[in-house]
Amino acid sequence: MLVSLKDVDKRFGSISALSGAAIDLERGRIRAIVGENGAGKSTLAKIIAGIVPRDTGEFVLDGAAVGPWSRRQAIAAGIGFVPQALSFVSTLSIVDNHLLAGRGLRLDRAGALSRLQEAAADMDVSLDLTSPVERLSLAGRQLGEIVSAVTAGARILLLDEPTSALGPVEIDRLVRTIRRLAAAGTSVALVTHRIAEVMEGADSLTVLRGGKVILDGTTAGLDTNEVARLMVGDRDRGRATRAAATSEWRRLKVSGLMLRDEDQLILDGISLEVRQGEILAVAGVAGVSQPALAEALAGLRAVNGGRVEIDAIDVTGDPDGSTCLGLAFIPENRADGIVADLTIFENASLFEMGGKAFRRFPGMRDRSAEHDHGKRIIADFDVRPPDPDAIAGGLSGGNQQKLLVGRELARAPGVVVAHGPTQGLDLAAAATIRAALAKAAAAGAAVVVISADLDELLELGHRMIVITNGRIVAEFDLARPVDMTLLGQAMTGLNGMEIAP
Amino acid sequence: MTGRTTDGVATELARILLGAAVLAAVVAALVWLAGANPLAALRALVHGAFGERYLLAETLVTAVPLAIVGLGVMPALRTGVFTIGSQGQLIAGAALSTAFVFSVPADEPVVLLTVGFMGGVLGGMLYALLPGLLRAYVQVNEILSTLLLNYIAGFALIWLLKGPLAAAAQTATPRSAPLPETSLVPSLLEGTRLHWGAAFVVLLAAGLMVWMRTRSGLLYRVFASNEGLAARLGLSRPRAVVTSFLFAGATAGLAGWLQVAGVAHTLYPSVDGGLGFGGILVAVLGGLRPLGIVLASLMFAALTTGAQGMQMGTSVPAAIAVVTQGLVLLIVAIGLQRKKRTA
Repeated sequence: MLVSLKDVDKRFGSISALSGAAIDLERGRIRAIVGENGAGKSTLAKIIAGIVPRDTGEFVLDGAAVGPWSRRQAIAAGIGFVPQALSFVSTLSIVDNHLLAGRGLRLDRAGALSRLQEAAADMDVSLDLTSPVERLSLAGRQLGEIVSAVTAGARILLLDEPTSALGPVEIDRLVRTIRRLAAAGTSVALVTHRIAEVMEGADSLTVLRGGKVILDGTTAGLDTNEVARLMVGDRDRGRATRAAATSEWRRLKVSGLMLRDEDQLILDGISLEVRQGEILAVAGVAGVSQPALAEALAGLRAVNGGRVEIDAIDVTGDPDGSTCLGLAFIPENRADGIVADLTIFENASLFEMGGKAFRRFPGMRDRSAEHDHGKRIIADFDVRPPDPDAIAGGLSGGNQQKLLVGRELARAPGVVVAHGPTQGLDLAAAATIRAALAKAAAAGAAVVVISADLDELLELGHRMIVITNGRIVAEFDLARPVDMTLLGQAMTGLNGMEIAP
Repeated sequence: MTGRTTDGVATELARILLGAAVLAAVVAALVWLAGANPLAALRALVHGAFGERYLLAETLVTAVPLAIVGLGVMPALRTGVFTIGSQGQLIAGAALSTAFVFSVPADEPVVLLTVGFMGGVLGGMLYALLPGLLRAYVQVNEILSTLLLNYIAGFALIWLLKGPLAAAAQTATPRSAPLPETSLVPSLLEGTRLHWGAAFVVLLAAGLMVWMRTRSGLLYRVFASNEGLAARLGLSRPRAVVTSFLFAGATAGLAGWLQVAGVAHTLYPSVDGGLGFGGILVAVLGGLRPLGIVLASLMFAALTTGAQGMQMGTSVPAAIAVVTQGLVLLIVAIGLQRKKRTA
């Protein structure tokens, strides 16, 4: 037993994050820590990593009890941690980031590079170690952080939500890498809320709910549905209902969208139409194309060619005009949609502020009207804490997302562009948001959902397109059963050819 | 909620008191090293700043342009536009208003004051427009461009004062001819240099306080942290950046006109006299809030005029005022850092 925690309690103010939690990590084994948002899984990992101090409880490392535990001690003990919001400086390369995290006065760049290369080769990963990290895909950065931690001598590797932004192919690659590391003796703890991938990757499993360990055991012979039920408890999951898209009114029309970055074609002639009441699901391996498409649809990214029209009006590169025509935009990164230093009610009423029902004098704000609007969104989307005066930056990621989606959909939008709308959310919150998207469509909006979560797309969409290398390579009518083989080929770009629907 | 707020105020107050105590201790030690009794020096400083009607007016005369410049850069700094070009804009405003006053063949105060005011505001705005456009459209770093434009303004002023705007009479240092009596900003307090320009401080502070509560005021805050969201709300980058620059330029130019037409009654090379940078410091010191900026400029001005009195009353050189101002900034900067970290 490398690490063993028992009876660990942790409170943040009045909230109990963990109570009586226990976990064991063994050499050469992969343990998954699963649970809903706020179940305490990240907190547990951060306690082991020395980032969050535990209030009480026993912590045994290599058979010896440890006292107060700092990140520095944890690093010295060989505990690597890859946070959910990746920690690399985006303008530096992996090598430089690795050196940055190290100690000592002299930077041995050549030595570091060869050690990283060696570790990457051992893990069977090919990575660009010397280009700025911002040029790598999210998956590449994630692997880079893992390679860096392993090179720094991590024998225990903690990964916080490593799969939350990855597509199926990348998840496969990650799981393969982790398995290889475990085979070489590393102990891995995988914090996640996605069960499927965990079951095939992990040896053992800890299920947390409300800060308590609900299940601790091996994954062999475990039923995925049973684990899901344990995670959420006996709660009604609620399913978004699919309204039929009958209207012929094309509210969103995109033609020949081109976007070039240096010599890379990010969008290569994307054309699509979304009708009133229709949800278009956009699938594809997570990469640069999806965020570019989302931002171009919202008018936030200048394109090299093509048009975006809402209700037949050209709004290419015009975010203000899109807003006026009723575009709701849920960006991939929720920090782009929420102003951290404003209150919940201010964030909630940004679009209504100063409007007819929200002012006493032209230009002046009516705080009480904004307050009421904030309270409405809090109630509809179960934002916690339910205090409209709370600062948005202090909310958990899931609650920020609920606030963001609530604000955008409260405007009775004509077109909705949602990128990863339920990313990192617990099942109940994700269900709330999917239901709200379906409701927006039923109310007459044209909805585009871009997501790395195939199940989500299949559940929500009326129609699905697959984008690979900046092009639409396949289209599926989701009213009929989908040929998963074809879908898989399109997603992986295996045949490299357009696939007929 | 209320509990949290009062708690915040208490720690804030404790922080300010601690900062003031550190400042007092360091300055007292310096005064003592200079060979004076710190208490006597403090008395001389307070007297020098507020002791007599004339001295109080002098403090206000210094505070007015500081406050105007500080209030003017407040929206820009809140927006995340770090203009440090107030010096150049102040000079441009002073020069253009002087040129306007000399070139208008009128003699009524209303006309000349309007023309002077317009010259100041226009000069400052024009001089701020260039770095504003460069930042908005071609991403030229505004700190660098405005800093360099300050030098250009300074040398251009000397050229103007040796050429087109030079006084007819021979003067030891280059300067313009005295402004006509009818173009001067009227005195506010008989027998002192305090002029009606002080009213602009009240107007600007009140206007900004209202602005901060408007939708527009909030949008500029959104822009500072979230450009894309601000654009969707109707505030594009060009608009946010250029308007911030224009407002900062207009106010700095206004201060320039007031220095010429209200205080010196002539255009001279050192018309800026550190006001451009002082105003930015005052804006930061005042926490980018209108009232705070007004208070901070009063404090800076009191230190400057008070130090003169102290120099006369004791052996302490007036430069102690500059040292103190520097220390205040340092302490505030440390305080802000700590606040950020504990937040």
